[in-house]
Amino acid sequence: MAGYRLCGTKYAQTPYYIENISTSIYSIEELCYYFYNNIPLLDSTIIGTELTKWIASELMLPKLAENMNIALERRKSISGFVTPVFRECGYLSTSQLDAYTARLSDYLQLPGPLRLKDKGDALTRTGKYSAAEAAYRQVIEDGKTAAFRPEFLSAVYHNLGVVLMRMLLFEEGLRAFEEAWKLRQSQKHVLAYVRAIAITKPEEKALMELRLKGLSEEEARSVYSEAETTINFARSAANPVIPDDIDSYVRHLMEDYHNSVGG
Amino acid sequence: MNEVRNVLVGFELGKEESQLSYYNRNAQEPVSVPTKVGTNLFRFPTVLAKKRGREEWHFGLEAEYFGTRDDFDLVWGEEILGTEPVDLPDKSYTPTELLAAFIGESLRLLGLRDLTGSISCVMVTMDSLPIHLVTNIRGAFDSLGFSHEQYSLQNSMESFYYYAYSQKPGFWARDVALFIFEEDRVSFRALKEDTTGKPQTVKVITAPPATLSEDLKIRDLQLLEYANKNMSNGSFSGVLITGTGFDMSWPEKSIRYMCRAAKVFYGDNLFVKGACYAAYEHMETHALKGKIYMSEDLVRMSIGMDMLVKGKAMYIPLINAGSNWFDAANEIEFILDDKRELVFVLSSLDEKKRRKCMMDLPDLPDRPNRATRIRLKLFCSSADVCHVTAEDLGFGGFFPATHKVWEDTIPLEAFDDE
Repeated sequence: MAGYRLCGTKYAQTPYYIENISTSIYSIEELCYYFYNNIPLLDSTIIGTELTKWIASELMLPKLAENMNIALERRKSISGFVTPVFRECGYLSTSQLDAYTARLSDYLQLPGPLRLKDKGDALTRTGKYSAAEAAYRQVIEDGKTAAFRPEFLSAVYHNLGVVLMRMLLFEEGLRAFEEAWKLRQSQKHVLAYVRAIAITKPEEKALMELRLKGLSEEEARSVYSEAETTINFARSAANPVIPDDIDSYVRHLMEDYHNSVGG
Repeated sequence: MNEVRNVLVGFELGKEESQLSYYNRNAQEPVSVPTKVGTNLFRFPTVLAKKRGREEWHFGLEAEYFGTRDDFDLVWGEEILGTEPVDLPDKSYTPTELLAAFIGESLRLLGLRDLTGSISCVMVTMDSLPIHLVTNIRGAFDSLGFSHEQYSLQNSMESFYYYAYSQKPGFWARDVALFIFEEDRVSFRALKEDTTGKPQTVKVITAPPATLSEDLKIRDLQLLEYANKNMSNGSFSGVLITGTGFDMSWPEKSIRYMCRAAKVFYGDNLFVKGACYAAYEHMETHALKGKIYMSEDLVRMSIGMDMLVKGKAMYIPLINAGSNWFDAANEIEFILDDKRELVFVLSSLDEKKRRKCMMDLPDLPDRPNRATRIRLKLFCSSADVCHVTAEDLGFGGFFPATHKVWEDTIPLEAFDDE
């Protein structure tokens, strides 16, 4: 239902910091936005009494906070914790809230490892690579005692590889891609692995490794040539426009990096 | 003064003289505040005196006294109520600062230790309220620490209305006349009620003034003729007389004529008490709900928006018809849900006519749905114009505010008859 949703509740003086997305929120509507768009990230970093204390003291909604605490303590219900927030401000229409509740319920019924992988994926999307790595590694660890399907584990290893590459941990990333390939020789995993080799190693060494993996000379050169497109793109970005305030620029880059790797 | 909490105050602010009253709940009527305890001196000059080199102010009679000293500077009413800063030897003061000093010092006549804590409402009444005075008076009260709910303004004719309609119903059962004397000039006003519509409206009609002779006998006859001319075609239940140049010694025939027609009251504090009655009406009794005084300052069109409040569709009023333009302001915040423009609903005073009015928001940042917060402010600069300002507040840490501002004006003109 389109329209203008009146904001009736207070704007917080002190924001609540959502660690998973490195973002501060000031209002109940922003909290609804987070809940609505980040179901896999409804974890213990947000579902808890720190949030309800903030709701009571900063948003001046003690009754809502109390209801949320009851849902959590007595009924251990994430849905019971989250949905009253939407109702308090009417952020969603009735049908939208029903659809969200159904989506949340479906998600909560997924097996734990699948939810953990989804969480890792969501953290990757928000740039929280270190936290994503932890989620993927937990799934892999659980997989040692549980019989996960190879397709599922290979997807986890693949995504782990992506995250590690983004954290510039190339060797570890390569090993993750290799594991993904071993579990499932899909074209995607093969390409990801060999491209990673070609991108992260000098040409001669890359060609040698590719040959060791069973590729012919011709195939190895073909893969390397394909990877060069990526390499050239990376090289073009190696000559960025240097801003006047280089200190702020570098500081910003460092903050982004530390934010992603949790340092 | 026997009121110490929730005090309701009337403040007649004039260019030459001012006076105060407060509502006495025991007596159930306003009481004028004397400038000296135990006297009947209620009016005081609108004048300030400031000690050179110090922020020490005196007002009224005190100011006139201190003004004779070399180390004090006088500021007259025309300057206090003016538009330009006043340069004193040691410092320059804006009209708002001067008003704050005058109002602050005057209110101490009430003998209250904590003005902002004890006063519920101060109703300021003046002959007319141009925008610069509205702005300056508001600024003065704000700087004195009063909240917006603690003060209001109305012109003297509205105070006349509240005075008249706060009397017993017999007084205003029919029209109410007002004779205003200014030495040798007298002017006539009348309150006329229209009970046929809803809400019932009361308006003031004005007649051309007359000049009276200094000869008291001729003066009486002239007043009789003037009263007859203006009252003979109407039906009056009450007559009020105020101002300087009138006393009970000379108007024998004219008063006899008026008394035959209606109840007659004379007093110099009609407007200040009317202001006090208005404060009492607004804050406590609401006895005149259902009636609207058709002030020239009245906003005659409501502005609102159809909004979603906790998921329910509701009409939210933003500017209410029936309020004075200087009291008509509002501020809200809302989230845009699949909307890139603002739609206002305008309705007539009697709520029988409605139309919509759109305000575009060009270059509104592109964001996901329900991720843009807008602050909307409305205020009137006259009875005919409402100014609208919309500001982008972004969405917290998700989408930083651009603080882009869009402005528009909505004319508050009457609907065309269809």
